[in-house]
Amino acid sequence: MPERIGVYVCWCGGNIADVVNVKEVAKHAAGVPEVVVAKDIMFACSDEGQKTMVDDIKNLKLDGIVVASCSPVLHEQTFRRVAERAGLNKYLYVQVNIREQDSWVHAHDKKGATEKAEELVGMGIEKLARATPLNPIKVELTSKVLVVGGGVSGLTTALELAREGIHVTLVDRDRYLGGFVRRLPDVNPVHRPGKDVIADLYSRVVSTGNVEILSGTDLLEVSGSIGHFRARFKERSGHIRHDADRELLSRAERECPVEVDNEENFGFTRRKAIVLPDDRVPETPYIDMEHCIKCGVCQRLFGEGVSFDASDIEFEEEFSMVVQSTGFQPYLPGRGEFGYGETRRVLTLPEFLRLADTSGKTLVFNGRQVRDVAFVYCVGSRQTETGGPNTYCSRYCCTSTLNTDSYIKKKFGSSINSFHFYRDIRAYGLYETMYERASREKGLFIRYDPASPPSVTAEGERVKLVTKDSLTAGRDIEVSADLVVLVTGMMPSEDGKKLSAALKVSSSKDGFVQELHPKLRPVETTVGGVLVGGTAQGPKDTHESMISGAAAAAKASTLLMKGYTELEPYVVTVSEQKCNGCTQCVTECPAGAISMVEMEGRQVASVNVAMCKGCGACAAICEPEALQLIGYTYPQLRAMVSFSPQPLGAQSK
Amino acid sequence: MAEYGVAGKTLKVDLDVRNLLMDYGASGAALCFNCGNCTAVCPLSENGAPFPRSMVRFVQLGSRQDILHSPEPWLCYFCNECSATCPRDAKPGNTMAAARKYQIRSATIGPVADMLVTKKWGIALLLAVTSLFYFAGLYYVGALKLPTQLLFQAFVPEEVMHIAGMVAGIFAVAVMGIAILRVLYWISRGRQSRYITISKKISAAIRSLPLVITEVVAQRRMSKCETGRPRWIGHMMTMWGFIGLFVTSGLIYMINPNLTNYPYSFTNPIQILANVSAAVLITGMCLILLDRRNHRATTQDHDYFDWVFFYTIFAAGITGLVVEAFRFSGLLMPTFIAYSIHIINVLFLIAFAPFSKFAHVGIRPFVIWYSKYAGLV
Repeated sequence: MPERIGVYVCWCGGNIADVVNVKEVAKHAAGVPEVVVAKDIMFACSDEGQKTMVDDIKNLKLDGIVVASCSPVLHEQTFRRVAERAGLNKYLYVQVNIREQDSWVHAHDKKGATEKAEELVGMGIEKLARATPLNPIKVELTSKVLVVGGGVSGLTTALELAREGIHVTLVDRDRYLGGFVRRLPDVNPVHRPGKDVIADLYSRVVSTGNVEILSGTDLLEVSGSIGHFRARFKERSGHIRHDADRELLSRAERECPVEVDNEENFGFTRRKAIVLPDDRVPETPYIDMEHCIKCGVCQRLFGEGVSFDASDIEFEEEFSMVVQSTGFQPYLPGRGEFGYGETRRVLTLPEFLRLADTSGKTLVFNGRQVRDVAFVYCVGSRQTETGGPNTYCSRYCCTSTLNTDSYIKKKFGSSINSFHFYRDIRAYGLYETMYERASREKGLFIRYDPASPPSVTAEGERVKLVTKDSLTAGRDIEVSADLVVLVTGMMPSEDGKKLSAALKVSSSKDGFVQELHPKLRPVETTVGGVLVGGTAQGPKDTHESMISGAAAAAKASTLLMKGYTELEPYVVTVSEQKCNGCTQCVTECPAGAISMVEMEGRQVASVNVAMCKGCGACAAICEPEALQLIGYTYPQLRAMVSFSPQPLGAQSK
Repeated sequence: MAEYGVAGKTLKVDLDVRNLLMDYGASGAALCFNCGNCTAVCPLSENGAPFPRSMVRFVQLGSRQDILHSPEPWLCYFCNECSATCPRDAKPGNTMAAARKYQIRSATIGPVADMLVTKKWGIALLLAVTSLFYFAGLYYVGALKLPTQLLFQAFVPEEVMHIAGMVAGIFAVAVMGIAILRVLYWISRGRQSRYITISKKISAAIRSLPLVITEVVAQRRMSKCETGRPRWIGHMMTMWGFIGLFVTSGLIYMINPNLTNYPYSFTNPIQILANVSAAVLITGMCLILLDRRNHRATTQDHDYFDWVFFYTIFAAGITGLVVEAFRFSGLLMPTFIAYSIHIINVLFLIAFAPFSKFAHVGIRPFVIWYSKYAGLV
């Protein structure tokens, strides 16, 4: 434990010294017996300031330093390196924040601020005087990453990691990859069908030879911490050989007697019980056993290739990191919300896109040609005024609707009339051109007030929309349309929420995965080793999802290339002798790092140091003081709390 | 915010009306994102009658009622300051012009108006009809023959001249009169809420007259347009030149119906007035032409409708001068041909005035008077 301590009080130019009498603080600190030297420095973080500290440590043989300056967020790493350069253990340094927590907030009370600084510095000295040298916890990382979700973001993450030579397992519950993008008939700005974009991405992923693709596979369980995540999968059988002959497959599809609504197209088309990939990837067929009547038609064609009772396969694997790219789910309007569910002629945007994609040369709904399409924006987004749960803007929907308008006019001709009931057009950046294009193509924009949203009522084979248009002095505007399309926003997916819960990843108040810091630490989550990509983190368009997916790959590879990661040693240790097995700490731990293990015939707490965040919640409630948070031990905290600045040095030792 | 539109009524979007207006020249309206820069920069837009954005919006929505019930189209003088400022290049000036055409169309006979707005061969058809009418008249009185002496009476018997003039004139005045009444009626039915109360009616109606007079005599509102003097001076000269010629023609036919001692000498006061008027008209029109050329690349966007009006007046002036020149040179056949063209041209100009841009001569003063009376300007 340090007995020759150096104390450095920083002026931070005038930031601290204008309020706090730094010379006085240094003089006060010098009175503590363990303190060998106490100085005030103009800028502790400057080269000159650092050199002063290094020289003192060497010349005066200091065994610990206290720097009273700014927030540790800013310069903890800087001063740790100072200690290291001078040959000191980097954890034998304590930073005291007398800027954010003192001078900046007490500018009106210089005397009080100086006294507070003296007290804070004194506490720092007390803490350091009871500190022990520590070493960061080193965790080996094997080059194996689990990517959960095979949408455009997950595929991008897998591709970028595989290119770095990292082995990736990509798991998706869906039998076909591509998520939401797969069903888009026209992806902005490349204006290609989404499944082409996905097929492209897929073939690149496959060609790396480094990605194990588990489509049609459920992720049953996932647990562990950085370096050691364990996942249990269940691969659902397709009941038919993957490499079955294409011509025979087409024949089997023709002959299969079972026909059901095709969920891929929201029932706008039908499918058989034997399902062909139909340009989807991976190009594997499957038999839908939920509807199959086992008539044997396909069995006659394929013989052994078809097996109705093939069972699902369960297996486990270990990964060093996990990327959550579980995507989103579209908002589903409630019954009667803008006429949804009450009038057949009211669809959501995802539904409408499938209708448009599966229609021939004319847009037909319910046997009637569609000429007038009315889009209602912000359904399930920005619900602040309406009292709904989703107060955020879903970002992608304005542009997506404008793109859809242009797509249907391109496909079905300019005889289609479009009406846009919007609140604000948020076609940011270059997407502005889409808005201009929709205007040029005579799309009619009607701006509604969220306080009085459009009313939607059926009128025979048509639908009537009425709203107060703020562009026409708030007059009631009436539009008659063939179809109403509700532009629904993005919501966090249920699967994503389950995964987050299993991994102890924190969510934002909107329910999406929370990034550690939106600017400084994007794609990182609150759990080490778990990254987030794409719309699992929040609403994004295709392009942004791919950027986010690539960022997650880049972040993962910075750790994996090094082969190990270092964790702060501020973790909890257990004294099994003291532990009374009450299990309160297990319930209290927000990271799920504590479990009960058997030891010498009784239950005692055990800490997984890789998962421990060092929050100290367990130590605070542990009655027998069996749990000690390293770096914040009971003696240290007691000494700090009971420290009193007067008289000088009386309390130490 | 000034209230506009037919207050209290649900506005039913009608894309057919919108599409027609787009054909009528308002195609840029689709691009408008309703920022209102046009209304902000318009030197003529006032609180009681803000435009052009309101009109652009009505065109976007295809609101027939609102467009017909608005006086704004006639309060605009097409300086195109709005089109020059529009961030979307939506050309609000053209939309205002289209709204005027639409009011003319709706207040007169639609298909005939279409001939001068959207049907590019329309003018040929209408000129052919006029010619046919003219030659049929000559044939009817047995005067359809080549002339043998240089006398206007010999070219066209005066009764034909009188009857043709009367028919064209009465037709034009009737159509124009009905159109003015309809436009005034529509405007008076719209936007009741922003109009004055009944008690002020008579005094306000009389007090509004001076404005109309200054408007008719000197186009004071037009001089406020920021595109400058040349256009205003050109318009003033054209108008007064045209009025001069109209008056001299009328005088001759009234005080000298048999055209004795005709043609007059150059020193005859009537002849002097006629020649000066012609010179003013031609100069004014050349100024307008020059101004349009100067602005062609930037803001002014003159279409078929505009040019038909311009060139038929221009042609009337030019052919008049040509006839005079030939006649004094004693050239029989050239005079006859030029005279025939001149007469057909003038007949066309009169007969189809209510359908062409000429209609503004009749409608605009009344709308301005009504707008003043109703307290909008």
